[in-house]
Amino acid sequence: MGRLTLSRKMTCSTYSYQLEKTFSHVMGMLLVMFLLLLTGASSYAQTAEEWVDNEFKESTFTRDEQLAELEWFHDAAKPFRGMTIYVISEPIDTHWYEADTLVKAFEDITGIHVVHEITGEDDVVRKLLAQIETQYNIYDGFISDSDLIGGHFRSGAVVALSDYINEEGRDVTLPTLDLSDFIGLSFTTGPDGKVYQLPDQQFPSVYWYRHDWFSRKDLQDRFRKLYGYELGVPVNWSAYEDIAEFFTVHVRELDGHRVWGHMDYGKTDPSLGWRISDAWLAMAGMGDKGLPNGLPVDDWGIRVENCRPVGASVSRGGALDSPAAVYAIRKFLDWFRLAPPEARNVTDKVMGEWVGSGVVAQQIFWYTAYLAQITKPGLPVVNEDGTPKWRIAPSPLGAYWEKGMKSGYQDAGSWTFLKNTPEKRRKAAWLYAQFTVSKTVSLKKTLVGLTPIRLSDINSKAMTERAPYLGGLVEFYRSNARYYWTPTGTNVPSYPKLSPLWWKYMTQALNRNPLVEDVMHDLAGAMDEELEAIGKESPGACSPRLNPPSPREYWLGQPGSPKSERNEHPPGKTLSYEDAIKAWQ
Amino acid sequence: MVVSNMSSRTVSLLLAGWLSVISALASAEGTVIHILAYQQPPFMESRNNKPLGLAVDVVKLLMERAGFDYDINFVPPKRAYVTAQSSPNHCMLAIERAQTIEALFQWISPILITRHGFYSNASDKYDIRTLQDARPYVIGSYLGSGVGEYLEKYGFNVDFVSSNDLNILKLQRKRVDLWATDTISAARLIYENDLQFKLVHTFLTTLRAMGCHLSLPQEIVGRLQSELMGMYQDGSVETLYQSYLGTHPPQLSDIQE
Repeated sequence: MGRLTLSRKMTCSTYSYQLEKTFSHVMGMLLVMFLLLLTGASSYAQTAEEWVDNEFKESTFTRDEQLAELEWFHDAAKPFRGMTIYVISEPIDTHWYEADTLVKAFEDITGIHVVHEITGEDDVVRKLLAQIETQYNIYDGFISDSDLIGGHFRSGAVVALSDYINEEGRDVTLPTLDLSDFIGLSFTTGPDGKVYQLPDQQFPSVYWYRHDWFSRKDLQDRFRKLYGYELGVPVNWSAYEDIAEFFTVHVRELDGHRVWGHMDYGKTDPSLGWRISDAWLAMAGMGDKGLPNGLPVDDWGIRVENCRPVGASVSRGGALDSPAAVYAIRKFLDWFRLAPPEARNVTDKVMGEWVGSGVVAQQIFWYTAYLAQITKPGLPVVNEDGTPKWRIAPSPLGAYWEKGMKSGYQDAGSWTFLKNTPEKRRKAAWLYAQFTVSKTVSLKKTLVGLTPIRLSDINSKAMTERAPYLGGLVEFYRSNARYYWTPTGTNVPSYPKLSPLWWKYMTQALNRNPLVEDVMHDLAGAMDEELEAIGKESPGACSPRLNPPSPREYWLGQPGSPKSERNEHPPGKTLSYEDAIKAWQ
Repeated sequence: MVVSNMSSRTVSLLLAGWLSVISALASAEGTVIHILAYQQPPFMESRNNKPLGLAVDVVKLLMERAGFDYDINFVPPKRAYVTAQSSPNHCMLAIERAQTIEALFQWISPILITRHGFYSNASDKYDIRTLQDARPYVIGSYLGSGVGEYLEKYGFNVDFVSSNDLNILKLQRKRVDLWATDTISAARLIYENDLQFKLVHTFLTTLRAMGCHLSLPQEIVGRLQSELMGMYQDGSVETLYQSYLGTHPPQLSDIQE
């Protein structure tokens, strides 16, 4: 507009000439802008079609619905075009697909550049905590496990998405988001009924075994002769232990290779803690009945009264040093004798490689996040036609488990936004988050990473066609099992502060110094102390406040958890694969 | 800095450390904290036997505010790493906190928040929109760089040299295609040497910490951590970043955008 400013020294004719020149210049610019707009619009439409026709061919949406959804993203992103936003997630195949491919599609559609960082899960948690505590906006969005939900609803630092989509974020919330289609929403909902996180990927920890070996008549006969029942999918820990012993001690070699009846990991590392805190004690049967987590005592052994944690030790009404917890850890430790010697010195990161190498007969605790790794052609665990020699099945359960309790762990990496992120940046990041789970792209993402989040994807024709190659994953997600395998719940008031206790004390347990009972007693005491400290740091209606200590007998005599000692050696029981997966129906 | 196998001695040390932390806490009175740093300008450097640098300034202010006695000595990074694990009251500055070494130290974190990116010659025209786009290229880094190790772990073609500034010549002479470094060091080196480099793509943010011996009393660790958070919240850390890097900083304000 500076060109229209009249200089005092200008004559009338000069002004007239200048104005005319300026007018023609402005008209020229307008014409150029109009052409650019036209070209831009057509360029955008062409780009959207290319993405849909090439990358997102598999979708539960029709092509027209996909293009309409992408157009909505294109329009909603106008105020944020040209921005760069930062998000972070853990290193699994699903997130690599997002970081490598979806960010490009999103940028092409919206003009928003996304730096999607990939790092270890512990680093994601640490950075989330750092952003809350320092008040610096390091990231605009996190894909963080829903295990942190107990802290999110208590802290006041996390945006409640169910409020956000109706208020501040209304203009940038995808009309076709369809929240009711997400299978993991109960995991990310606080006791206040608000949804704090949006699931981006989910995977359970289940039982994995070599179906081809279990189907061999010679091995079936030998097992029956030794143990008096059928070789099959173990229903309880007694059977799991028998099968582990059978392969490690009796079979020893198959096809010229040393084979093992059990595999696990015990290296001092945060993943050693997750091995236990990811529902191992629930599988043993330590906690109370209730879904997604036991109430009043959950699978961390923490008792809540209303929403207030009151202790983890039996003396406070918790269960972390109860007979069931001691039993669970004793079995975890004892079974290392049946695993390869390397097991004690590795982390969870190599569990895909180990079972893929073809020397492991079964594994009681196996994350299906590694499933994509072990479906690759040419592996010793994959048939020539691409079908797997292995299956996943319901995890066997411990002696204290009762119907109505959660059956295992499910990871639900979920979009999480902090209140200290500037509003404009949060809106741009929310658009990207929705794009990664939109119906336009989510089926393709599911087929790549095998971590489904939408019921529509799970029930799709594409998943039916893929099912024979996934060893039971589709059957798992099409059954009610998806509600029985659940993440850490809301009894845990601060995951970042409490979770390091697990691996520190499990290291002591692995070194058998002191005894398991003493380790669990110390762990429960440390958990109580930390709960008390959290309560003092952040007082509130749902903050921890310890129960006064009572004699163990008092709490062990009450109904539910903590449970008194029972027969920990019931007879081994197995089922055929077909019957075992019926338990998921 | 990745510890792949843990010796029984290390496990014993870990246990001893935790047990002492868990048991009765030692008094912080009279404890001198020995901080071991290593040359890594502009974050840490010893000039005329004076410790200087951004991380050093953060720690100096932290110690003063917390009221603890301390000293800072410069040693090679490997020695700092080993000594902070084996000698009570010793800490290493500044170390990238990672899952693989989480169990080996007690942590005061974050001392530094830095973004890392790929730099190229200004005339180069690489189309790098994601980390994976850098896979065909030779990437310059330096020994001990956590980011170099991160890239190597994920199969990138990383060419390591002994110190970060050597990558400047390698990039200028096109012996590497890209230089992976943090935006603060890069801005400093580009400004001081009037380099014609450009930032092509940002791909990772790291938090660097002070890693302390496992026996350092919990009351000291807690006090330092709480004081550090206070320094972030009252703007002291931001002021240090600004004052240290003068008018050419792409640091925390860049992170904030």
